Amino acid sequence: MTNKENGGHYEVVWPRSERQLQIQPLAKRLDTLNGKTVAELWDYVFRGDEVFEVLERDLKQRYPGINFVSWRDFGATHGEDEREILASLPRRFKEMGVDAVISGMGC
Amino acid sequence: MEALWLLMPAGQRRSGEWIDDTLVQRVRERGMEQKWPLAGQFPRQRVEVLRAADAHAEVNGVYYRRGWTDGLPIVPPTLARVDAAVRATGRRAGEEIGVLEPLGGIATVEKIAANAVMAGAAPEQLPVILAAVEAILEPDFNLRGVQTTDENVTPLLIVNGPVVAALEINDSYGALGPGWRANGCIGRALRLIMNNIGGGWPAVVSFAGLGQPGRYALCLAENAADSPWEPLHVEAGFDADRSTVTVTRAETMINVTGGLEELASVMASATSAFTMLYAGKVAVILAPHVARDLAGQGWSKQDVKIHLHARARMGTDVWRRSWLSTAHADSRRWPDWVTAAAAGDSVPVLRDPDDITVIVAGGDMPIPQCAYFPSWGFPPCCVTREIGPIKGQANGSVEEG
Amino acid sequence: MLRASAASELAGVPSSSLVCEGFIGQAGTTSVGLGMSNLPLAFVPGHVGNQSAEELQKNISEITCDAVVSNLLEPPSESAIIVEPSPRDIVFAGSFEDVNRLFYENEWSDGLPVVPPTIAKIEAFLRFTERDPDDILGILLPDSRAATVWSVAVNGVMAGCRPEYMPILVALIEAMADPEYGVEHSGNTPGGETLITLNGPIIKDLDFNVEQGVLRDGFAPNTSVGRFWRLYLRNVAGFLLHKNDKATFGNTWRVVLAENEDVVEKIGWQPNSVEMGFQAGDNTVTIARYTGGNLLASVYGDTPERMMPFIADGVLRQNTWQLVFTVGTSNGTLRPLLVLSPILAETIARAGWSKQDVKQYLFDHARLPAWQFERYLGEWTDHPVRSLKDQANLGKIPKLFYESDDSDRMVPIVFEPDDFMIVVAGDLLRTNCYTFAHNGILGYPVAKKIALPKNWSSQLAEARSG
Repeated sequence: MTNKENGGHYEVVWPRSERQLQIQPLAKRLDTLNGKTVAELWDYVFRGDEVFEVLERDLKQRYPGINFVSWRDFGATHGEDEREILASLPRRFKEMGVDAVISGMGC
Repeated sequence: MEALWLLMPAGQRRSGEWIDDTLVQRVRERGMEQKWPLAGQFPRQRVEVLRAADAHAEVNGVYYRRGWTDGLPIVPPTLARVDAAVRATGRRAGEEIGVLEPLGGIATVEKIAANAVMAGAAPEQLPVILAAVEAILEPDFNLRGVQTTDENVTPLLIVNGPVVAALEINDSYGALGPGWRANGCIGRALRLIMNNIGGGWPAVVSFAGLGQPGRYALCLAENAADSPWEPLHVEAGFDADRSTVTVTRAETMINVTGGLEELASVMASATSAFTMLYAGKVAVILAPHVARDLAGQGWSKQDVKIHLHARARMGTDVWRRSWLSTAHADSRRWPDWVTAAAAGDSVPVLRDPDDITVIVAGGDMPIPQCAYFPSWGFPPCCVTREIGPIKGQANGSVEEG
Repeated sequence: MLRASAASELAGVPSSSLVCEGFIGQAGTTSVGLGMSNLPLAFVPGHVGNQSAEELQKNISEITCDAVVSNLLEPPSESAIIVEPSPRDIVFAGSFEDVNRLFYENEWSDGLPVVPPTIAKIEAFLRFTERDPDDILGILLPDSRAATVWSVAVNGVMAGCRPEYMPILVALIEAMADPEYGVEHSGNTPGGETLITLNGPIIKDLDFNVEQGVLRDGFAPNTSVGRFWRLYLRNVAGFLLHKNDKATFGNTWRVVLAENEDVVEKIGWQPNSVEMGFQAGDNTVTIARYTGGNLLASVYGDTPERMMPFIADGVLRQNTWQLVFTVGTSNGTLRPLLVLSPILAETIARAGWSKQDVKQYLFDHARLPAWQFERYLGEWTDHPVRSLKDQANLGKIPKLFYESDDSDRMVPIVFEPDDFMIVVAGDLLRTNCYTFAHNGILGYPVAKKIALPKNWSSQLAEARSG
């Protein structure tokens, strides 16, 4: 119910801006975790060390052939070395034969 | 020129996409653009202003062509109406109740309210609708399956407790038919929510061959007054003064004029194919007349269940020749309790007496109208959720805010 | 953390991202900005900060573990493209009230009335930049939207800025888009707010307040530019409360701090623009995020030796958990800011001290015992990096943090004197100063030069006469 006497009339544009997304496809999923190498990536906050300990224990019970590469081998994924660490991942994953990644902690 | 300020009822995913973006693709894949000419065509905003000489008609036309209705006219979800509905829940508008499968729209309280308003629901009906949404969000309910299967399954809502009288939910003559606003609008709201937030559009996401009338609305109350036994919610462990909604996955109801023998015979038929396959939890409505008769002879509700379970048996030869046994032999694995029984003459249709939800409902008259609702899907599921109090109202509330 | 997951996916390795309950909304929207809206998440119930070891183990075992498995084995849902309006589309026409109502309901507004962004008003802003409206100043996380010059003008209009502020607004968004700044952290739980520091003749050109009440609303330039910043974070960076803006408390937009360059020049000090790598007399904006601060009132004394101990003590006290930005989360990125009133700066300068000398003093004296530093890191915030000795031996922090095993040894709160920042502004005659607590790498100081249109003087004169 426009009240043109007092309210005026304004034709306004959208205040946001276009998304510039390249939709990246996700990597193919695995058919099992048995016999697979899983890398742990941690940003060194929010008790990720305890969380990874539990996950390792439980996943080993479910998938006896699974093995893990510790977060210690990568360093903190958030912080000053973040860019270098992330850039090195493709190479390191290849070298270590990493099949999957568990990354934490978003809290 | 009228302007209506409308809250978008369509589901938005966490990532910011709207489920209609996926639905448009599905519509195109099926070549059904003519049915949904405006699919995905709306501003990706929380609120839209629609202006027309007859705004109410305009909203109805546009929403229909966008795929947001059940084909019947809807009530435009204006900000004022949605606000009143949200207030009745006592919750925050932006609170997320859960993510609805299969397309993953987030069911916020305000989107639930918008769809409820569209269905014609009054604010005081919102707590029931909210509880029903919570029920279908339980993982065991398998909403994804319900929304996408070729079977005609739909949620059956059974309401118990003081809210029945407060909202005038019909439990007697015509309880499963039209005429009572609460029954119609609560059931309809749930379907619109499933459609608009979960994305279970018929023919493009849901491949139900026929569907069923219960997909418009399927909601009734148990007739506690005419029941000789404890009501369903007390049976489920709730105090009598609490209000609950019980939800099962129900295929179309089969009318049964008669008593337990007639019910058992219907249960033991081809209609229970998927009940057998998945150890489904079925629902049985006993007419007040039948219930009273049985109780008079000393039967408890549990006795009824035990009896029905024992009598609802299919001849083993019939079972072996059945469509499910022969047509899809490879992909079907019958449960152990069926195959074990197949050593003998007959196989039970139900795994356990407790897999039958029994309520008393309908008009009290000497020609008893009973009903059987077969079940579809896995895992076995019958969910009861408590209904919260009606908030934000001065009068007529079940419990004070 | 999600960037690590996205990097893994790009490398062809499937990932599972561990997220706590409160982070789920933020995770979903952040992952869109990474071009991977369907990055699979594994839910950790509650918040790890207040669960016992047993509770945490139980939750991980019973809930998170299953989610991790399905993240890695089940095909994820599809990612679809989002349909949005073009910049020049008129999205709505209506009265002032209706425009505001729509903008508010659609979360395009900060809750106060906005000036309706009409094409005419936007074009008035565009006349104050040489840039093309479609120029992209950067792509802003978390939404990955294009920070176009056009969108700067739109939000400038909305904020109530005047068209002649446009050069500052453009420079601000160049700064926001600089990866050094870390705009993607603008929705973090500590809820720090950006402080904009303005330098150069533009301060006087546009009548920015530099004196009493410099950090308070009341002056249109300081206030509206500050408001613009947060509107832009909302509408183009994409930070929305209760979604991916997770500030526990937050603050509202900070009014722009303009340095009193007359005083700075008079006492022979360098303006902040020079500290940030530009020349004295350049028009610059500097941005950084701060989680809070404190006024230090009544700084007493007629010599620096008399005045500075109290100031150093105040600066020290503002930095508690923030020490993780010196050692731990990121090393050496803490940049404490001290705003001195002119009279304090004059008194200090009269003794022959420069800004550098003040910084040196703070470095030498805003110190705490090593054991206390480590307590902030370890016992109180549960950070995994806790030992100054280890970090120094690894070469990650300067040796001076570990000069002996004496746990009472006094260590600084930053790596070097230049980490301190000093700005002169505020009431000319009040002996107060303000110490800001910095958010380290999550809002690191970035400065940009302001580009003026070639007809700045005449356009400005025209604007003033209108």
